[in-house]
Amino acid sequence: MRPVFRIVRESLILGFAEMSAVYTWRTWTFGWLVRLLCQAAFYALLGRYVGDETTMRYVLVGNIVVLACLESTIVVISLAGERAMGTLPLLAITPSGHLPVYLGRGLQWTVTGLASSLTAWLVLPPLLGVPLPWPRAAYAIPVIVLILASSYGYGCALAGVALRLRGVEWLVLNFAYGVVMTFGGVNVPVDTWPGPLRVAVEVLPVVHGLQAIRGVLDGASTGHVMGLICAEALVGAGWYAVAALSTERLVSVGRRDGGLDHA
Amino acid sequence: MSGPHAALRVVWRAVLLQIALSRRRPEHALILLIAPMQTTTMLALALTEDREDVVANAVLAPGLIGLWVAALDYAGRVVTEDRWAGRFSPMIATPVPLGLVVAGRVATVVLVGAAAFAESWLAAALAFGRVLTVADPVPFALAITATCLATVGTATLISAVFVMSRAHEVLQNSLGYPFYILGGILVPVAALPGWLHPFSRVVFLSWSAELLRDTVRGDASDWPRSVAAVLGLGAAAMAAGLWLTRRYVDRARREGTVGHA
Repeated sequence: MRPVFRIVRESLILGFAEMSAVYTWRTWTFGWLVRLLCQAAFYALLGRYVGDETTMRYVLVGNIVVLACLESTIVVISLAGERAMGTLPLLAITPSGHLPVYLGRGLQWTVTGLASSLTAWLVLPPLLGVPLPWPRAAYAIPVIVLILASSYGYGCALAGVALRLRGVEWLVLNFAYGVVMTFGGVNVPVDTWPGPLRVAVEVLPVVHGLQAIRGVLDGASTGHVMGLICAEALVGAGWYAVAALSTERLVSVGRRDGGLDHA
Repeated sequence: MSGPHAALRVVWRAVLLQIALSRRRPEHALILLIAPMQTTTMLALALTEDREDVVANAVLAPGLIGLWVAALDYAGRVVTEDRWAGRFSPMIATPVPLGLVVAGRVATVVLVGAAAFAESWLAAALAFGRVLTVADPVPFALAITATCLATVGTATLISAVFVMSRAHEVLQNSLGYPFYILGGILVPVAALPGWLHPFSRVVFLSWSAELLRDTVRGDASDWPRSVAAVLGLGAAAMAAGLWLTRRYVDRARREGTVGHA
């Protein structure tokens, strides 16, 4: 396990060094974080405009939790950036194997994602006049961490597309996140959608975890909540498996045809 | 270079340049991917709450977001990308004002953003069976035109600010949703807290959103005032953008920093 921890540590150092080229802690807080808070508030205000405070709280909770997914999936951009810089082959020949190194390239986004969603969780509900039921709301925090993890796997899997097709990373990122935001039960319940779509969204991250969080807030039974948490973990594991297979294939084909540096 | 004909030729050449560049950048069509998803999100929420009266808001908002994204994410980066790609030096060596080139290129990107209106309308019709009709078509067309022009003006200003700022990526990532709220593009300004109203009034989106919704509902009796406000704010932004761009180019020439500007 020690090499894995070292890779995680080095990935985080590299990731934050990269971030510091764009953000200082001030510009991150008053620029990026405020933007994320405004995003959640934007949809929450729509919730109150079309419905009542219950609708607003439903929409706000969904939009706060989905921030974790938004930031985690930015790994798509980090991995595509390695290809653009020509450093993908260098990562592939690391002694520890390419898989943990590749999958660690966007870990900093999980840390910032946790910071953003937790800040929003604490600040926005009282600010918008729909406070959460504390201390029950605290039990949702480990579930947000799980959602971060499953969304990160989802992002890593979809990064496989961005690594194979040039110049599509922003499209992939926005599509990945947009599908979750639109159909994942963030603003309206999943059963709003027609049957086939309802089945399809079962494999998206956030969907089950968010239902678990809503269950926690509404005082649902522990068994019901645990079932949803297990489903979220299973979905996340599935996406990590897809990411591992996709990366493995990318590297093996790249080694064979020498096309990894311009894959 | 002199005369309006020559200026228009410069703008047209800039349009052609941007088309050539955008064809190689699939992300310039990003808004066309996002708009249907946004329409679906907003419309689903409105209809789940049985608010048929909010359908117009939900269909028009993604179009306005499309324009703002075009201005902020792509048009705003025009000069910054030229610097990275090494096009900046030859461009300012030509005997035409850089501001006109920027305006022409920005207009091209904004037109792509405006296509989000059509896409959003189509998504509402096909996915939800809600065909949005316009009660006052002439003021509506004028409102769309004024909004596109104001977006071009604002994008020219954003482009100038980005090129002069060391934190342009921060600004680019941060100026979306705060302006969607301030611009009242989905939830009307009147429903926002009172202390936000004065700030909203200097954002052209707030006038555009209100005007577009009113023309759709046939309730736009005061439309000339709103069109004038949109055009006035857009013209002010354009003037500021052109002035800043000229100032930046003059400074780069004077200090010999064009090559590594």
